[in-house]
Amino acid sequence: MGNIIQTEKLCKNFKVGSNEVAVLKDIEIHIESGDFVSIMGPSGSGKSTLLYLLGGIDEPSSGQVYIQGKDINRMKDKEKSILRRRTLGFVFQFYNLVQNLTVEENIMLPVTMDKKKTADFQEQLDEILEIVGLSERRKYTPRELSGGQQQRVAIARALILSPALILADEPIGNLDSKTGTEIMELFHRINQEKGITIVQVTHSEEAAAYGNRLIRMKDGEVVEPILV
Amino acid sequence: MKIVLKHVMKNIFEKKLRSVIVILTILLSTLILFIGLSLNTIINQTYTKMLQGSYGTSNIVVTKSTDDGNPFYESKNLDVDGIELEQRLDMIQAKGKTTIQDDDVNVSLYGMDADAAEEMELLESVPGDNVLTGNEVIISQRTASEHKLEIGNSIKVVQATNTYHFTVVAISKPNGIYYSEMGDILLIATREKINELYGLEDMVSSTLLKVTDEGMEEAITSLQETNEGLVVQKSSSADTMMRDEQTFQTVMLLAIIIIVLISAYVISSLSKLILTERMPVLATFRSVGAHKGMMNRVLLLEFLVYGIIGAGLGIALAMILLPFAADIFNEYKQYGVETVVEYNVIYLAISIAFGVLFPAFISILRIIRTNAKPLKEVLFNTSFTPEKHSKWTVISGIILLGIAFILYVVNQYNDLLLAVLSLLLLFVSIVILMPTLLNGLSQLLRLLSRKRISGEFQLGIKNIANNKIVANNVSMVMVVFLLLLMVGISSTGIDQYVTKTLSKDFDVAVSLTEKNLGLANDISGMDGVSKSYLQTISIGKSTMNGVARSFGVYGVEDFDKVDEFYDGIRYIDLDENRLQNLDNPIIVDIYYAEQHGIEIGDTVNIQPVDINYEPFNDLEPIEFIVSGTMDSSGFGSSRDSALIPMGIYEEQFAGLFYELALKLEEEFNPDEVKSRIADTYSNYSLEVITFDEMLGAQKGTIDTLIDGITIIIGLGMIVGILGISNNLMVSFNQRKKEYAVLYSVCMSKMQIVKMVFVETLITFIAVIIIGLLGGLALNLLLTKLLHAVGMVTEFRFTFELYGILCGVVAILLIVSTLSLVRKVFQLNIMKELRYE
Repeated sequence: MGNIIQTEKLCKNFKVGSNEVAVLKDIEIHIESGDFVSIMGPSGSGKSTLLYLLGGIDEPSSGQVYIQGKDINRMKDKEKSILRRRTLGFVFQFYNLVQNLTVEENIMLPVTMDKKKTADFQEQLDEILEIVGLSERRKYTPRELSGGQQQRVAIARALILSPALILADEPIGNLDSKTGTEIMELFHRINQEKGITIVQVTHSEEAAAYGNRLIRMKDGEVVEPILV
Repeated sequence: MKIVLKHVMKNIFEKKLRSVIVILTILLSTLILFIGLSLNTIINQTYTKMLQGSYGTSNIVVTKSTDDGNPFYESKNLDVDGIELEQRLDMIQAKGKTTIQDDDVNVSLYGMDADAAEEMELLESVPGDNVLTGNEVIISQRTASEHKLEIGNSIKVVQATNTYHFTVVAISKPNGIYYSEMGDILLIATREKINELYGLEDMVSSTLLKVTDEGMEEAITSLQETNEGLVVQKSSSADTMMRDEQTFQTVMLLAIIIIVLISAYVISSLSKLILTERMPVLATFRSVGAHKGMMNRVLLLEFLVYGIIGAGLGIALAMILLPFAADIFNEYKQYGVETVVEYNVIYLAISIAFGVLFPAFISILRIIRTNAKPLKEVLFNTSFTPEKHSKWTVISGIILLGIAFILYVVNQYNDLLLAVLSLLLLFVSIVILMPTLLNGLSQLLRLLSRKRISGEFQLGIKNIANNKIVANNVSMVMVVFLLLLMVGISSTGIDQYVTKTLSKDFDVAVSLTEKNLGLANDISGMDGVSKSYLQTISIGKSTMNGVARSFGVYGVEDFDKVDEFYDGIRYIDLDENRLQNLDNPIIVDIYYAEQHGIEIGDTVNIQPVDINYEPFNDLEPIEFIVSGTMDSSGFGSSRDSALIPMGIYEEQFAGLFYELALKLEEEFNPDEVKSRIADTYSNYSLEVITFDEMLGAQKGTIDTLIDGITIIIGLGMIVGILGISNNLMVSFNQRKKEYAVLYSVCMSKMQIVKMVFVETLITFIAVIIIGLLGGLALNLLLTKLLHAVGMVTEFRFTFELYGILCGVVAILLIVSTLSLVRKVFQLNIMKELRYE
């Protein structure tokens, strides 16, 4: 299998007062299609920063990020947004749903923004709702759902355009352990059944165990890439 | 507490832009409130000062009853025995003409003891000789500077066929009696000299008396009893000059209410902005042990500090600006009447209390609501604001709207309170129904644009329906829009009344101090006068259907002649039989007849009253039989006129006003006739005015009023614009996360910008549609309110004004959206998505 993600000398510096702090230092990683990768490390190690750089939401200070062989930092904003819609799916710790839209409207957002007809995606919607177990709650708004259910909506939104890659930032960090396990099993199922590459940032060893690969980070550097 | 206060102050200084906006809003609203409240008193005092100028410190004025055609009496004939006089001044008046630098100028000559006049504050000589002899006169500083006259100069005055030469020996400040100079030249000479002009000796035309305030009523009664043939009045009621004080008060009050409403809305939205920004600090305080009550007090303290700074600056600025603002409204400035600026302590206290407490008062509910949220929600700022379409909200909005119109319908007698309540309910219902209206608009647009528009457009349309913040923005814009429309409709209506509704019912009008038929006939017989009508007017009170009304009661010799003479008086329905055969017929205005369900043949009781609205001569109400209806808008905007036969009028009513209206033959110039009347009857105390002058004066008053209101509303608009901008800032702050989420999952920043533009466009469409419907409803309800305050004229919804306001809103929305666009492009997505 080829690399879906590749980074070259990826650096990210932040300004703190008058000082420049290096958050990521020359990161070089390769992630193959179909992998389920967990990035772990202590707070401040730069794992979330890395995830957002991989998703093109943040821009590196230097170095490159290749998604399916394309340098995303050479892309214009519009191209990046197309990439985020069609190739990537993001899942956040705090779900980040649009509160004034219903479950199905939230899920269909990438479709709507991609100028595709929502009617053409009804089957996928039904299937995904079935997978995440929210078929009965499709007309609810996020505030009427529990945390776990909201995270399921976020996952469904990430899946609707059948992306090649899902980036998840502490997806179970805000959930109780039972719900967390359910979500991780859902991720595992998606990875196994649909072959979607998943990269998650997590503090939980248990959550990391669902993946096939672990990247440990410390002080902005990759410590040990391990195959599970 | 010290730490908390330090924190509050630091926060105010650190957030400079926000603090400036908050303080500026409080400053402007306090300033407008103080100036608005003060203006009416200042204008009244200025007006009183001008009136008092003619009478100085005197409190009784004695004139001659001119039944015998002679306006003079001998000074010694005024019997003041038994009256404890503090001051006395005898005066005699004459008129003439002079030519200065090729200009013909009217001259008023007053004969009096200049020393006594100065003591009575009728004049105030700057160094010069007050003791006049022979041909010596005193002029005013205004005359001296306008006509370049100095002490020692000579003035040639022509009276009838005689010419007199006077020498200026003193110059007075343009106060007191000189307020009435009004473009003419007023010369003060000796009484002997003026008597000489008439070929008389020791005659006077009026006497001013000063007695103690306590003894005044008794003195007047005594003087009236012992001086038959002389008219004895209080100085304060001697001048019958009318001023439309109520209109001014009403419009000013309306302006203040509007400013207060706009300010309340703005401060409310500001509190939202502040609380949004303060959420993390709130959480920090609470996480280290501060309880909710303590946090409520901290936030209230912050609003109080803003209030103190804003109100302090506002009051300071208002005190500096008040003299200038008051000067704009001083209609008598051209006559040298200085604006009487007094800083009213009560208004000062009200304005300070408003500025200091209002922000805290308006924010208190929001503060409590914010602090009532669970700590986690506050700490992580995870509370969201989707718009909920509760059916109860919609129902209550519809009910309130219904009540507003029901009140309009049931308010048959134009009760002010009901009219205000009805208008208020309209505003409240519009705000409550706004989300529903926007939802409807959104659904309609979705239906119209189905499958044909891109995702960001669809999302923008959905946001209008579902997003509480967007709905709040539209509500804010709508409320300010409708409030400004309200002022516009009122001002335009009043202006229209003056310029278009007032018919040209006379060319020249002569105000008489009493009913002098001989004089009226003489003037009516002058060359150029084609028609004349002598109006005799008094006041009556009546209670109809439990509602107390006052009327201008006109004594009429011949009802047909009134109709024939006045174009502005139109008979609607007459019962000739009753009018001719009854002793007590009355013609009432159709406006009141319809209001009270009065029909021809009905009985109305009218209580004659004096100028102070007290029963005249303790008379009982008089019964009248309604014998006709009319449209009397030509007599006054309040349409509270009633016509009764002269016989019953003379028997029962106080003769308060007499005005001889003259129509001229086409070839005669009103100004020339006016001048001729003034010259010919210079020894009578007549006020002569042409229709154009009257219209100009009324128009001038209204223009001044409208200018002032425009300034206030302009300031109100600044407050409103600040509020709308703030709302948009709040909106951006609250929606930053939403934008970041959309960016992270599916949208480019350009798509977000397009979505924001769609929201702006729909907001504008909503303003156009709801503004039009709301404006039409407002026009209807507002008309009732204005009728309730005596402006019974047509108030029209003007598309011109509506268009201007739509244009202003469009510009405002575009400017605000452009600033949002910049912010969207600069948005720190990572910060909003909150990762470590």
